[in-house]
Amino acid sequence: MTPTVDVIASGIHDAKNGMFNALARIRVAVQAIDDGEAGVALPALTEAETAVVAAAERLTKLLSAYRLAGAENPVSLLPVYVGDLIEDVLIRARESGGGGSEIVADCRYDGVWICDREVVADCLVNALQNALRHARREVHLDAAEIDGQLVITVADDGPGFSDQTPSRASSEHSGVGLFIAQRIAHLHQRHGHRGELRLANGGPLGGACFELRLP
Amino acid sequence: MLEAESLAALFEDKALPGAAKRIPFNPYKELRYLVVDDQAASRQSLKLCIQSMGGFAVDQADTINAAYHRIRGQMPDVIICDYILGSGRTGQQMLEDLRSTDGLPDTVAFLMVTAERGYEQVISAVELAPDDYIIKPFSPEILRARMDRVIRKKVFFRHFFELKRHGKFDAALVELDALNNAEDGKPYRFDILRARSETLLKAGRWADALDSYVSIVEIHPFPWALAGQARALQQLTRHEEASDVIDGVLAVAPGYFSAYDLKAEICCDLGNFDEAQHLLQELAKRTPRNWQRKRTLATVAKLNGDLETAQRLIEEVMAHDQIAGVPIMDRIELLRTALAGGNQELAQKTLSELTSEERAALAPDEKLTIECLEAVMEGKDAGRKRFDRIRADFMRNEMSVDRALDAIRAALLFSDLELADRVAERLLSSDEAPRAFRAVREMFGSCDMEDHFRQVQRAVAAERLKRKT
Repeated sequence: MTPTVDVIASGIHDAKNGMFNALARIRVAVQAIDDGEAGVALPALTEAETAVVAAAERLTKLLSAYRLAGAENPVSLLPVYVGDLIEDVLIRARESGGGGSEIVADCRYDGVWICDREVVADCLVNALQNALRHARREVHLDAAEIDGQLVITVADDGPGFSDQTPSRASSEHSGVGLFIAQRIAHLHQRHGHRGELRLANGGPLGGACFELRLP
Repeated sequence: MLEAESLAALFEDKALPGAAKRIPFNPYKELRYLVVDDQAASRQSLKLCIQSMGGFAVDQADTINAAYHRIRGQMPDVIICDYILGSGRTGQQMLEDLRSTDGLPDTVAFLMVTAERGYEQVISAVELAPDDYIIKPFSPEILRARMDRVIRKKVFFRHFFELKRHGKFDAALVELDALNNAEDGKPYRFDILRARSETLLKAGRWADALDSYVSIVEIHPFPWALAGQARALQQLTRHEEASDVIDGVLAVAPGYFSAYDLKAEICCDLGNFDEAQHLLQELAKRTPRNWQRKRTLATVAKLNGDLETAQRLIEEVMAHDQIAGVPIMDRIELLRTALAGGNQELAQKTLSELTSEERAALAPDEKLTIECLEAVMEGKDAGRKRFDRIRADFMRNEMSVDRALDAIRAALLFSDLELADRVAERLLSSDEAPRAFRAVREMFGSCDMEDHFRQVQRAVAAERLKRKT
């Protein structure tokens, strides 16, 4: 199998499990309704809904991976006000929940950048969700212009990436999210420069630091 | 529809610039909404989203035609439209139809909803983009954030929209400069640059428009900016350069239909009607319900001497595009094409279908055109009186290519060489010469007057030389 197919197959497997989980909850709810136990049915339906939403998100992500890997020109560059992009990402990350940590956002670039708003937002939401899963108390989302590049950083105060993770971003066994992030960075090409994904430990909060640099 | 000032009043002194700052009160209950989606469940879901934001007056439409009907009945403040509208039609087509025919004021917010990631490719390419788009699935919170931004932007540009709507382009450009310098204008710097380029084109300041579009292309070669550059070059009669630029656009954005229209126009400017007709025919296959494009194709086919295709297309347009009745321009075009093709029967039928009320409502130039075509239809003897009545108007007036060709045809029929020469010389001295040349030559040729036509050409060339020296 090619690395891309590998990544996609793994994601489909997870989505399939999520759907089976939802199905099981729906069966519980149906039985509870038959038994006249609304108090049991409602939480089961809520759990089913959550599982379906998660599976749908995963499938959306896989479609993105497929599109980013396959199409000749998959990014659509548009002028994007960076403050708006950060606001969208915050809303979506907060909606998806993920731990009790707080997200602190700081947009230090007050202007427009040429990028693909949707794929960059997807990538940052994914990075924030990962950070929220591992953070102890706090996650920082920061955007700034550095050396002519838009640098968007997601940092947390968790234990950091495992030793292998940073290098895994470029290996065939990387997760869907990292695979997408790396492709997104690479596909943003302007004036002869390509974007870049940097993963490191010991960032501003001492934990993992995910850095997307766009030309 | 809320007037710009009323809309602004909803946000006045309370609208905070920049993102991540929410509008601190709810303006949504005052606005009128139109939700366009062919799926009832999606319409209902969007309606619930709007209501959860405080919206109250939510109208719905399940087809493009139903949407047009609602819009004509009462202009909404916000249109939320699904990209896929069934029957092979899209929200983008609806937006382009509305914006290109001035059927949708700039003050109305248009938000496209799409499950198609490919739509971003369309947005990044085209000139007539929605105010924003949102990818399904989305939460009410995201919709609210997008709506906040779009409405804040409408408020920011309200004076500019007003000036542009009234054709006060110089004042509109001054307003854009002021907006560019405004502290709260940072999110809109690129929109201002784009609006400036478009306004310069509308104002006919071709060289300035060219510079403005080039400055955008230097930031990023957006297909719409390149198309603007090509449009400015075309107007500066730099047709070969315009053609090269638009070819580049089509290579990277094959779904950018308006760019094909522009390419066809440039082909016509270069006198290459064959290629223009071929381009538009292929495009019409992909957009079978775009009647305006079929009208253009009919005109190009006629210029290309393909009267049969021209006639078929006009009849098709007249049969289908008649929400507000058959437009008089279509009847005139059919009459004109029938006469050019020697189809007296169709010409008679078309003319007889004009009611006395419609005749009474004709604009002066339409009246003149109909009179001219009637004179030709009546023939050399019976039409003479009618022709003599309108001759003076043709001698005096500047006129469109079509009307000029009507005048030449009539003048040649009634052996009025003075008028035929005058109109032909005027036409062949204008920027429209490449478009009209072939038709004029054929008209003289059909009267065995090729030598006379060459004399007209020589007179035009001599006059041009005289003006140069």
